[in-house]
Amino acid sequence: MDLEISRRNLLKWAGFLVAGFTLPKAIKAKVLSPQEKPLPRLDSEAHRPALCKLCPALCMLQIRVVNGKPVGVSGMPGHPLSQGAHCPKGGAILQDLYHPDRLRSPIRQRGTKGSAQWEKISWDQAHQILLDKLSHLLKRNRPEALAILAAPIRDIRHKIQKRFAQVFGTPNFWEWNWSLAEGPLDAFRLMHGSSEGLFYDLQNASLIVSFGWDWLQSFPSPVEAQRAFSELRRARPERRVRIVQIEPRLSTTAAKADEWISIRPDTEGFLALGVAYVLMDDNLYDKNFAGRWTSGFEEYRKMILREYSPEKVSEISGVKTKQIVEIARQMTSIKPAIGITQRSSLFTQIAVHSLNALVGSIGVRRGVLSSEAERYQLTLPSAAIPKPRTAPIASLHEIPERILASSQSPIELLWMERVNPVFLSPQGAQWRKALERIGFIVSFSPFIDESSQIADIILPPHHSLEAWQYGFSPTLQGQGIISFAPPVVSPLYDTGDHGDFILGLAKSLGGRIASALPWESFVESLEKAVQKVRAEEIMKKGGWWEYVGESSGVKSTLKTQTGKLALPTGELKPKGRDLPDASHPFHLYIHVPLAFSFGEGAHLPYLHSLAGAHLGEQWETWVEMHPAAAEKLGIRDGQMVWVESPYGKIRARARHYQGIREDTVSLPFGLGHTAMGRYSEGIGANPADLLAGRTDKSGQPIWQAVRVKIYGD
Amino acid sequence: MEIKDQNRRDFLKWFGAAVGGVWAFTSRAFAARGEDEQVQARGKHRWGMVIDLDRCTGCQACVVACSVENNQMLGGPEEAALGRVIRWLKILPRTEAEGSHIRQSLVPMPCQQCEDPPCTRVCPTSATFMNPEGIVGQVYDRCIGCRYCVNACPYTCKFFNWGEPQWPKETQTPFNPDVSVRYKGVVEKCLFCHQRLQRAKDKAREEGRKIEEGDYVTACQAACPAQAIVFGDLNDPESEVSRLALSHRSFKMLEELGTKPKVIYLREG
Repeated sequence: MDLEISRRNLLKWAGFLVAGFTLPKAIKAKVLSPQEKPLPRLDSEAHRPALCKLCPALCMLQIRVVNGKPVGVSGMPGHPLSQGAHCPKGGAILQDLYHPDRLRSPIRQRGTKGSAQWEKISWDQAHQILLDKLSHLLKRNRPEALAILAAPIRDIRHKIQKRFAQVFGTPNFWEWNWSLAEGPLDAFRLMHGSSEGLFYDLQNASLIVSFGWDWLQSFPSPVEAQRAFSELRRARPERRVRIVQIEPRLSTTAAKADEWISIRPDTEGFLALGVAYVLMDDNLYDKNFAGRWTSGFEEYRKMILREYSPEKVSEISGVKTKQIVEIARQMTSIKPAIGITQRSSLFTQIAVHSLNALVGSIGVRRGVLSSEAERYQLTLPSAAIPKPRTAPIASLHEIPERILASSQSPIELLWMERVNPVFLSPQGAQWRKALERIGFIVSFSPFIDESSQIADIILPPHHSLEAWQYGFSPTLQGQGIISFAPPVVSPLYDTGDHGDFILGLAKSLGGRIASALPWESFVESLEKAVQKVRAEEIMKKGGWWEYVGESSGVKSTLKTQTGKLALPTGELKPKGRDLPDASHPFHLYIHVPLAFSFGEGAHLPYLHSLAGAHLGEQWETWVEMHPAAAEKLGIRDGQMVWVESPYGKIRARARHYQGIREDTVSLPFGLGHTAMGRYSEGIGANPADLLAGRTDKSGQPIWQAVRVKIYGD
Repeated sequence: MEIKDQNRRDFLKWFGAAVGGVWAFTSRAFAARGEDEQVQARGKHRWGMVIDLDRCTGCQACVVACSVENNQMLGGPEEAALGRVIRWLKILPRTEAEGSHIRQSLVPMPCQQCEDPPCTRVCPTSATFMNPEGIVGQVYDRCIGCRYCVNACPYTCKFFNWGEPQWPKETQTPFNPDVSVRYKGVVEKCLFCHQRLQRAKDKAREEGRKIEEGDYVTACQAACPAQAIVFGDLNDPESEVSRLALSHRSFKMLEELGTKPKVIYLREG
């Protein structure tokens, strides 16, 4: 090619070059930079108040409703419990509402109990079946053969059920409880005369020593626990609160605490008494409080000084003597200190709570306070309630034992309202057998769960987003919160309101039952209760109000006849310890991840992803082993193993975890359903299958006193 | 000026000068454009997040809120076994033991929204890019599933859809209409709930005002019961996120890589 060197050519080529350099960049930028697409236009959008009934805390949520469909969840701003936030479970509430395996209508067992041959029935048929059964009991003058096992959800439906039991004439009304997320209510009752309204002033504490309570994961109100922790950490920069966690395992609470003290399972009570020994032996305790406000102190003192020297306690608990002394010193130098524990054995509950007496933390801010908030719960208009002729056949956790001990079940008709004892109890197997012996069972349950499988009919209640809701919740500030929410959506399926269903039965039964429950619907009874406090407007729109009920002062916490804090030394006698068992070398420590708080939640897929985040575990059951212990047995990290106790065995994935004692292994609770829909059935294993199924003196099931062995295939 | 002798030497000289001039002009122009962009960005918003690990309790309400807001896959045992459950925001656990002393940290990890993102550099189709407000975006219909970005991300915050996600009919009803549902073969990531920014901007526009602090809140921040997550405009020196970012406790993940994350952590204690 002949190229003439000319001005023209020079300019031409220079032009080409400039274009060649700049254009591709410009074109690339133009073509490849993604353009923001506008969002779809929404015909309607609203944020509606809702009350979360996935746990007993009853937080208020806001549901984003677009074109009539709920599509988003957030906490209700300003609500004293949620304060605009929510817990993991509350966030997953739409998965509960739209669960593909929710029951769509009432069903009846066609074959024998537990045969899983279900047929659809109408609500009218269900009403007639129940009415016949109830009338029959009344005709035979056997009202106490009716038993009601209700969810621990404080609303008016609950009160309707309770009143139904009372006027029907049965004393057998129980409220389910989950002891691992409760404070030491039995110690409170024994020592203070009543447990009502007593609470730890956690949010303002100076030193929290938790004896075995993984309180960030298991708490009566999970949202409040997270918030309290956050406030403790950063709300008062001038005062850094000290948090000590005593637990066999590095739980989330232990990881977030200032100090984790590793302890043998089920010996937290001994440790507390060892601390009490140091406090009294070194004259560090609050003599003023002990002298003025306690009864039986001398006896208590003698017993502790005789039986619980730090050396002895150290041997039992595996906690070094030095550490025991250190805890005692901290509890007296950082004031006021609180010792907290959950509703475990009566021994542990009393041992730990007696420490609060020794350091004078009862009735003072940052210690243990009382609140009168409970009395502000809405009540039904009064009615004539007959006195029960007999006492209940047993306390809640002793029901299966009582039924299995008699040749014929004292209960002929059981109705269960959203409770699943067969899965949620260490006595699951006994519950199953006991339920099988009951003549007729009706279960109000949105799913066919393990307990409903044995029922004769299952009646699916509306979801909490599908019906009017009222709830009462006490807070960590000692307030009482009354919350209301109208339905967010109309019922998706042929579900019913269990409040209405019970009122319908009462009406049909007539007589004193009908006159004590005279309302056409649950909503009418709620309106009546609301009228008494003149809150109709709040009810209609959804909203809440709060009562301030907290009071300090020792006196306000004491309801005993003597007006003093009882120290039931008799319950603190040294108890026999399990001897080391070579065939079952490990203690089993069961923990409950927050995702499955109150033992529930494995039916919601989003919650599965959270359960074992510290090990990257999800959608299966894992067993935590100390690497040294696992290596001795030749068990690799990630290997499938059997965990076997004298009572049963389950399969789990072994995970090496530094945060567990060498003599202990830990399993999460919440998985291992054999029912309850596609996301929970057959996934993981239930560690309750390994337990002895015994109850403690406190009446609560024993979760932590079993030994296991571990082996591969 | 007249070019007298048209010879090879002169041609090359002039040609060289022209090329040099063009190069100098274009590179200067681009440099100026880059500065302009930065100046512009400085004037605009630059969204960032502060996560206070001292407040965080590891409860993971944020993880669920993120999943619900962004129509994330349900997951299942098979996906979990293969490590293929997608959660844009997840907990990064770390347990360290020194003798009997054990420390565990549970760090919430959303996309770190790097100012110099390694993922956008390697994307052959510009499916992942940084928008003018600093949010690293992902366009699903441009993504060819090459997974270069998944490998490039040092924070493991990009996720590939190995299979068609399973959504039983009922579970599709509560889909967030503002967020598209992903399909097999594309990469997805945390977008700082970009759809919420769009809605916030629309609302501000309707009300005839500028977007203000608190208008644009990510789902994780809204959910957090411990108030550990703070989100806002790092370009606004008055915003809480800017204030907290200056804390003596602040640090960025793998800062030494030079990715300049816009997620800033506050250490415990």
